[in-house]
Amino acid sequence: METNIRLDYDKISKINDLGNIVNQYISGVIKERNISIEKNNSIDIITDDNKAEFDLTWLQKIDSKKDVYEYMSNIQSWTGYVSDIEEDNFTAKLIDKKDPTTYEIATFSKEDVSDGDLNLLKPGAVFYWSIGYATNKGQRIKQSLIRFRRSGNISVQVFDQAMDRAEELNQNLTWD
Amino acid sequence: MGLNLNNEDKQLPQNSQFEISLLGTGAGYGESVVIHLGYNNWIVVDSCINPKTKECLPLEYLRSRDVNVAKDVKLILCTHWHDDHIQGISELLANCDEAVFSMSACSDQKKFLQFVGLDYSKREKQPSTSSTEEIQACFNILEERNKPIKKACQDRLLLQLKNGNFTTNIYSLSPSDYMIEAFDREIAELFDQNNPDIRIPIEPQNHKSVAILIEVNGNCVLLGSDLEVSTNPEKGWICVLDKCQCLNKKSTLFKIPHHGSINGYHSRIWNELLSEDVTGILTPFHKGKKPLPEHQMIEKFLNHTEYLFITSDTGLSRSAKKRDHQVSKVINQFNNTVQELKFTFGIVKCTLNIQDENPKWEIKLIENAKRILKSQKN
Repeated sequence: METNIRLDYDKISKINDLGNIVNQYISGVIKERNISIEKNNSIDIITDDNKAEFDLTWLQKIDSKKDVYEYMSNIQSWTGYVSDIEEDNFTAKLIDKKDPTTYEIATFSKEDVSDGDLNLLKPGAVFYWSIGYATNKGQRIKQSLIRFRRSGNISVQVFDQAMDRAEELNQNLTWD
Repeated sequence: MGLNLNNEDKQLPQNSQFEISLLGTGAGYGESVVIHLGYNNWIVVDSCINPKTKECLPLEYLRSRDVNVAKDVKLILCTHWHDDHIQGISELLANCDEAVFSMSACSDQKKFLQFVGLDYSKREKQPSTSSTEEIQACFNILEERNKPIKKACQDRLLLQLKNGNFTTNIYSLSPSDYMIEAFDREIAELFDQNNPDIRIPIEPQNHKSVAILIEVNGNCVLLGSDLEVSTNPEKGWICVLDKCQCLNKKSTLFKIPHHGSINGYHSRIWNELLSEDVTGILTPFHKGKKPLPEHQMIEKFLNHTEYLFITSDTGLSRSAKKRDHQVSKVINQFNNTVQELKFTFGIVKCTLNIQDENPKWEIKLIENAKRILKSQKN
């Protein structure tokens, strides 16, 4: 049996409910494994062609507990940038995804961050904070989700393009 | 949309007027200094935007005053690579055809360009407010124009102008050689780590920022950028104080560094580089736990000068943004510390008539700008 699948994240995200389910699967998988995602791990990697890769065995595991991971509808979401870190909490600048005009700041408890994300909590780190409603066994509950950004390594092609462009600029730009 | 200046504030300065306009936005949206050197020669130090309209504020300010930006802006200086000093700078450069572009950089230029290019490739996929887009866009414009980048470093003459009896010299006072080498090492390490989860620049940039001295017919202005004081004498203000050769005369106007932060303060700056009746100007900042400037620092500045002006207060709101009541309620249930940083625009405009026998700075406060008095403590 093939143990890896590739999903077109763009297309799926356009279908709201299914997109939400996939989002829940992703965050569920992260919590379920409760580990820090290592380089080259196949979970939660958004590749250059905007595809998400999942390890199917983990999806099957999640599927058996699907009453826990039903869908969540976001009512508000931000991109956050960590500015200060203290012993038990951290402060971040927040940019409202729907209204990216003025910033907000907020302090979060480190307990709000899943164990697998704590190693990503550093000054300058980027995270996504969403609040909304999740459905669990037909019951609607309010939910807050913080997820730190993991960036997939750029492809060889993109790397080469960037190097070529830098070389070109180095030839054309002069420094006085 | 443009800036809503009254007729008096829109007026162009006279040829003999040396004018410094400090533009501030409250909170952490940025600052810019727009400078008239006399005879329609302008320079712009750093750039910021209105977060609501995304307009480049120094550009709008110049346009509101009918400045021919394509021809009359002679220099654009990017003091350092922080969002609050760089937003909109590529739009500014794109409109200022004749301007020389200056910034500090590491000595390995190829590595520097690779570093910017790689980060830019990542940002293209994950839009953010990163300053990399601005720098990359500036490089593209300069490449198209076939114009060099003027490297700023300690004791460098960035611009010299002569108009009639007017002589203007603009010197960069930093970064030091030591910091330029440190930047080389930092970039090399970033390549080794290949860590894409942190926004660049990850190391503190303030020691790399470009402080400048502007001298018009012997009248000096010191713009402190975000340069800090370090215990290492090879960097920051101590290095400027000990090693700069171009600081021969005391300045009568001082843009206080790093929003009045304690790490930008040293009594030697005030005693050795500034005149007794110096005018201090600054912008506020608030993006982390502590708003700047802090009360204790304001008191220190007021011990050095009674002429202290700020572009606005820190702009911290007591609540989150205005949203649907139900959404606000849920936000508050999960986190009741969310606070909006308001955009509070203000300009401190300082004018010196060079032809006066004893020139004195005249201060005009626009929008939310205000004077800080001893009893006020911001």
